Amino acid sequence: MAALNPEQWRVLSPFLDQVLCLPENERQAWLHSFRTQRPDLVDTLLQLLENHRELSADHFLNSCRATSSLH
Amino acid sequence: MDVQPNLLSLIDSVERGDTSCANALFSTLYAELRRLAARELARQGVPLSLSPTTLLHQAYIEIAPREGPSFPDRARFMGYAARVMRGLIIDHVRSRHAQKRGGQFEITSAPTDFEHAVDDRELTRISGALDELAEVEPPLAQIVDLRFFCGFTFAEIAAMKGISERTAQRQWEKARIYLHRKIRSDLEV
Repeated sequence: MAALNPEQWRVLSPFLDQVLCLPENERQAWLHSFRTQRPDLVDTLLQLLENHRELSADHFLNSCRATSSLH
Repeated sequence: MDVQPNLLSLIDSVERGDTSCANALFSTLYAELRRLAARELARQGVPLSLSPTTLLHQAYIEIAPREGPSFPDRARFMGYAARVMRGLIIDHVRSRHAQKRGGQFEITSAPTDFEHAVDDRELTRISGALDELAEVEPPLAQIVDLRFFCGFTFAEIAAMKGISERTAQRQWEKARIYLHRKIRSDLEV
């Protein structure tokens, strides 16, 4: 998996905000529209949403806190 | 109480973009938080325990009035202090196997029970990725400091930063995406 460089992230960040605001059942329509508007970005945005599904399934940062390591 | 007299000027300098003052600011806050923790723990007696959230609140309550009316708002203080708290926690985790616990102050988790402890190396990787995120999109990194390292709830973070709880949650999700991708890509190198 390639890391995004800072400029890529800054470009994608507002679109990620938009799509994360939507309920799951509205995202496909939004992404379809986005593909026509920004074909250069849509695949990377889809990867980020897939990353989100994976990390949610892994409970990444959610099932623990750093401070629990202090015990 | 001996509060560092230059805390306000250091924060002002960093706010104006003078990044050369950032290390001095964090060192000053770091020393102050350690001192507050040690004093509070001595007052509490055994068993020694102090949550990061309690420590940050205590620090703000004690420092803010002494810095005068122009002290930056609570949100900015908490942002800086939360980052300093991350440094405290990382340092503590790194050194915990080398130190005898007697006589050392110990930061404990918030009252919530957590399923798993974070591996020390994972914690270091998260912190490194978080430093990078702080350069790219600072509000996201601050959310992680406040939630993951200090244990604040979304409601508390939203109130602190003057944003809606929903926005705080969305920023948290974005930060998780960034950090997860960054850590995984680093591990694959």
